[in-house]
Amino acid sequence: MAESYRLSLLTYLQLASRNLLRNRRRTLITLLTMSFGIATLTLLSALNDGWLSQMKTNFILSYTGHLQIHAKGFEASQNLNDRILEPEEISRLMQGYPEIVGWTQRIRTSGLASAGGSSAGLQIMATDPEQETWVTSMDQRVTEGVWLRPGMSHDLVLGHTVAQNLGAELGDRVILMVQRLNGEMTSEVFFLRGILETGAPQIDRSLALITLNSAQQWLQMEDSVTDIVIRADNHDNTGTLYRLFAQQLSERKYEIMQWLELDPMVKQWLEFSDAYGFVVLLVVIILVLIEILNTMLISLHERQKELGVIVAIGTKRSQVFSMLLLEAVMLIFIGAILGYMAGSSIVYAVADRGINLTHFANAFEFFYMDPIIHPQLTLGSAVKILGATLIAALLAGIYPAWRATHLSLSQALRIQ
Amino acid sequence: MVKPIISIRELHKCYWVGTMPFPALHGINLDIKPGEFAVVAGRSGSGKSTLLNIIGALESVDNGNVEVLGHDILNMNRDLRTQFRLRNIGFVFQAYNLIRVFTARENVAYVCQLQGKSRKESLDIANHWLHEVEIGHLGYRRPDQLSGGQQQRVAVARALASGPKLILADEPTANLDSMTGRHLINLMHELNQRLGTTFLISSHDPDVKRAAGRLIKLADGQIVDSWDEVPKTPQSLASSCPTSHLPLKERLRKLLYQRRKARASKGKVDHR
Repeated sequence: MAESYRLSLLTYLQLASRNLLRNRRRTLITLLTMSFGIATLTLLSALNDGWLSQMKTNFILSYTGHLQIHAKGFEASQNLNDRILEPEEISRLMQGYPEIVGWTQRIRTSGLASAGGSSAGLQIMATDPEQETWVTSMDQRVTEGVWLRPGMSHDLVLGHTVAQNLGAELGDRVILMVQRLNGEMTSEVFFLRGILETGAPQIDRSLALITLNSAQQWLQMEDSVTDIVIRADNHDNTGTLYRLFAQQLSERKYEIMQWLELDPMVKQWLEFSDAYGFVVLLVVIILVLIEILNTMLISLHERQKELGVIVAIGTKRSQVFSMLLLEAVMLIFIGAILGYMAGSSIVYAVADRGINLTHFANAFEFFYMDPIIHPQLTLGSAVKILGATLIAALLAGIYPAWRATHLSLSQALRIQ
Repeated sequence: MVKPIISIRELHKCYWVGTMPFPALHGINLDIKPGEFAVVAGRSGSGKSTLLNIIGALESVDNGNVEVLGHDILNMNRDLRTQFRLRNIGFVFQAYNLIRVFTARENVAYVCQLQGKSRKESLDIANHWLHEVEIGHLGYRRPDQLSGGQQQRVAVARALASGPKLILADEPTANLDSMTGRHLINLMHELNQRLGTTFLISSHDPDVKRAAGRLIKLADGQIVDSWDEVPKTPQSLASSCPTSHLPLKERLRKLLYQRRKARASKGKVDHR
């Protein structure tokens, strides 16, 4: 006798939609509240994604590139003896990969600079000036003077804070002092040709740039370098390139580092942003959940008798459960779509112009951020927002639906 | 001998409000034969609705046996009862109880859809039954666009649409004016005669009683030939509600009540 019949989806949808329209004002208020929450969430996510993307781009283009290849142990020791002896062999590997926009070879070492009566500790970076322009945007960040050119053997560019600290001006003599491969100290005179502002204070207060050829001669390193820096066509291809080089280069001789590993603070900041985004998502979803739960419970209370009747005439309790659950899901789904559309519209409206937060520019600078944030809609955050609201719908629908299946039939039918 | 469609033996049902027992049915024995047009008459609170709800597998009992269409409905689980109602029983309620968001024909078609019929077939069946109850032209109206009499006709059509062998109608004319009520009862009687469907109707409406093929009079939860209202004390009410069949929670509640009563009367003796 216990045959099981299914109601068609159309019947369920018809019941759910008409029940939602039964009290239009209440449904409208619920939808508006929910849409407002989802729209706010969409906007906050877009802002978060926008400034994270800006931060990544600024970080990568200001100095690190997407990937760096070093001789094994160099990043930890910063010792010139841990160097790449045949950089051209590795450079040849770069050809033929469309994901690579450019690469450059560098020598990095720490040293001392003195000009006039002042001196300062700094990071000396020697690079191929032409190749560097394919990898980072340092050449565009020169605010005074000129960017390096090949053949400038005794010229240097300084970060603007270093220049300030040394009291050096364009054309001034700056003496750099470093340790050679054999351990002896050596110094050389350079002329200040340019001052740059990368936007990252930690770089601007420590960077001295010279050409690769002059550094190789001065430090007696022949053709060897300490870094090969690669720029990918987009952030998402970093992993692909990492795997590619990991396969081709000996793990014992080389270390390959992604941009995220090169600055632990940036990594921590990105993780913090994810956590912050999650908390905001959670708070909004909980509010949505409470709103729906409240609406559904009031609706359930008003319809006890009708639910009693539909069970009395033969509706299974599982079918009643599905009806109520579908109602909640439908309500949240419509609210989520409306909210997401409203939020997206605001994002599109301000995306190009950006949101100007110049007032907080100093704080943003520290995190490689521009003071004008361009909100950005990403597929990931759309999936997160809509997925989370769907889960909220299920959670908010389950309890009223369960309550509906546990109504006392005789009591429900007696309600006047 | 024809096997009864409803067979009830020693049926007891008691409601508890807090610790106060309210016996609704007390020792009911009843057989209803197939095709009967039977009316259960009695004043408000006499147990008519409770009896119909029990026969309709909507309510549990404290004691007794109830067989409907040869099935012991008291030993069925919740889902089996639902299926049983869907296949065998049609309901007509006092307050019509149509689904507000459905049109008249969707209300009638709904039970057919529950039985697994396609939407189109269900709507065809609904149209047929709405014509049978003479409101075929009102199929597209929602309940709030229909008069009480029209709504009750939709309810009758809904009750018949699932092809039940038994229709239970609880005070179907109570919310209707006498003329509309009379028409409805005539319609139900005519359907009973033509289709052979058994009708069991609870009512205190004289018109309904006059139409009855069989009249069952209830008073204070018992079947009587004539009204016999004897005011009962709480003690006698309690004693008419056996506890052995009750769930533990209710047994405890009743025990507490009896204890409190005993303590109160003992207190009175000591005081004297």
